[in-house]
Amino acid sequence: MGVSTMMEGPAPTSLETEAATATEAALDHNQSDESPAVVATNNNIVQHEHDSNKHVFSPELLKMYYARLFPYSFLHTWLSYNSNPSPGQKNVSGSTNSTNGNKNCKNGTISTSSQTFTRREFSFTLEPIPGEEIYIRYQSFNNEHDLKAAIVKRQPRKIDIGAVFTHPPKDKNAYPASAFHPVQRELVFDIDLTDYDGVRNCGCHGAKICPICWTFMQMACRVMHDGLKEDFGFQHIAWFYSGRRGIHAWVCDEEARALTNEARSAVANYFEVRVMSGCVYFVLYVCSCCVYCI
Amino acid sequence: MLARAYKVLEPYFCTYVLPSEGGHGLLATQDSWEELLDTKLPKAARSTVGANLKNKWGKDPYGTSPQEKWKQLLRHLKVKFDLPSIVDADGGDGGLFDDDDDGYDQPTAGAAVASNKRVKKTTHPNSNLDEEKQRIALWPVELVFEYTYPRLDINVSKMQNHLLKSPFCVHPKTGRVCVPIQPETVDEFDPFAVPTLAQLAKELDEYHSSTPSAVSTDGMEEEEQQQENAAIVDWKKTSLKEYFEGFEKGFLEPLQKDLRRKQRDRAEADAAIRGDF
Repeated sequence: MGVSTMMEGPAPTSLETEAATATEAALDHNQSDESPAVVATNNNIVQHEHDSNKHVFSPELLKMYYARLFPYSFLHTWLSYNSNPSPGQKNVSGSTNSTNGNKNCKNGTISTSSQTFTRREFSFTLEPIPGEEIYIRYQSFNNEHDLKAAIVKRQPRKIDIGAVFTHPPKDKNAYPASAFHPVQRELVFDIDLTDYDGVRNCGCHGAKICPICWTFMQMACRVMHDGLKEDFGFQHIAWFYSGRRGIHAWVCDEEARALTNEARSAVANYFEVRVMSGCVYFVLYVCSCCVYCI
Repeated sequence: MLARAYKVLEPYFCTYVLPSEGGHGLLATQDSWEELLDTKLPKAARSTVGANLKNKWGKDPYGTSPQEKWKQLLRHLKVKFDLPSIVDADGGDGGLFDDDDDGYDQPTAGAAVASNKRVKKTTHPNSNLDEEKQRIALWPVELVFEYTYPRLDINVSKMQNHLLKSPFCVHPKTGRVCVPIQPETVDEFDPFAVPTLAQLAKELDEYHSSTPSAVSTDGMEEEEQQQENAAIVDWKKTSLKEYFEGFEKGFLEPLQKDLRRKQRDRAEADAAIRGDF
């Protein structure tokens, strides 16, 4: 579900589902020319969880983290896809930066340029009042300095990363909808232990994890990483712990970032094995030399 | 891809799915293996292999480990239905051949002998297996995949416009940082050891209080020390160091290197076209 990026949590209650539906509707709304809306979500559920984990997470601790530890330079260097980034470089829109070779880059092609970072969408989940979350999309930044300034100022509870668009997302409303769309985005995968509830017999389900069921994530990482490298030739795959019960993969090769939605579906479907009695025939089809090669 | 995945996954399956100690107990107790043999084993094998093993294991439930039971099960299926080998993790036929015929008559070409409800199948090597045998031959793969094959949230991958949590964030429910994982050492990654915000705050404090020269006879030493502390980026003073340095070396540097190479190649290609050398 699209909302899965915004709300990790226990199985949705009716309150969450309601809020999720409202948010999703608002996001659809945002796709039009309306100004990027601020959307109120959760209520009671956030408050309850807020109280129970103050010892490991609190606004004060988050402030410290954003001030001192969050690696802004990693994100900036990575997402610029520029082998010679200047730390804290200012917006060089329109300039001919000698380190990028895209002077003649046509609209819609992948370019390694200083503008790649400026046209990247970030979204923030804020909680200015405990119990009231606000989600804002289409944030974008000129450089590392501005990224840090915004995060330090806003103290987002969550940060999400979207696509690189035709124009800086913060300027979205200056363009007609047809002129504002994604042009590149990493191929990403999200693997979550809640999807293994049917086979977890260690006593865990939902958001709860333990060292035994965590091993499913090891297995998933190995199979996906092997497949992406060996079958697709991807080389730049970054894996991350989701912070609670899963892992994410970011495939960052230029070819991966250029993939259309259809191509992404095809790659995802390639990895999908539906294990039902009928799947035996699927397996046979893929392994054309039948069981001998298994 | 599936053969490769099976080779990777079957050992994990044996270690983490079959036993009850440290695993999900699929073959750990009489209840669990009987359920497997009664409900998951292909129907065509239940009255023969299934019944045989229920009987055999029932007589000495814990004389064999769950892993040994799994190997026995595969071996029995192979012998009973005259199946080709499933390649195991070692790449060989994994010892699935067994001199002991386990009470099944060996198939003889052209013969069909009924014996105590056990059905004989005859086959020539390398002939096409019939449908039922194919199902049985692939059942272990099916079972291993059911438990261990990656379960993706497909919708996350399909759309360019789908947002995903930023790396290096903190999870609000656990306080843990979304740290990089090095796939080469994924088995060593421990999510329960990932630093929390509280832990990081403590580590920073400890670093600064334990760094010498908090007390100095002249202001100069302290200032120098403070400058030195400031020169070391803060995350290096905490347990984030290992994770973040892994990211730099394992991902960022190779990415930068590749980008440089591509830029050089493009520049050379451009120069060649223009005639510059």
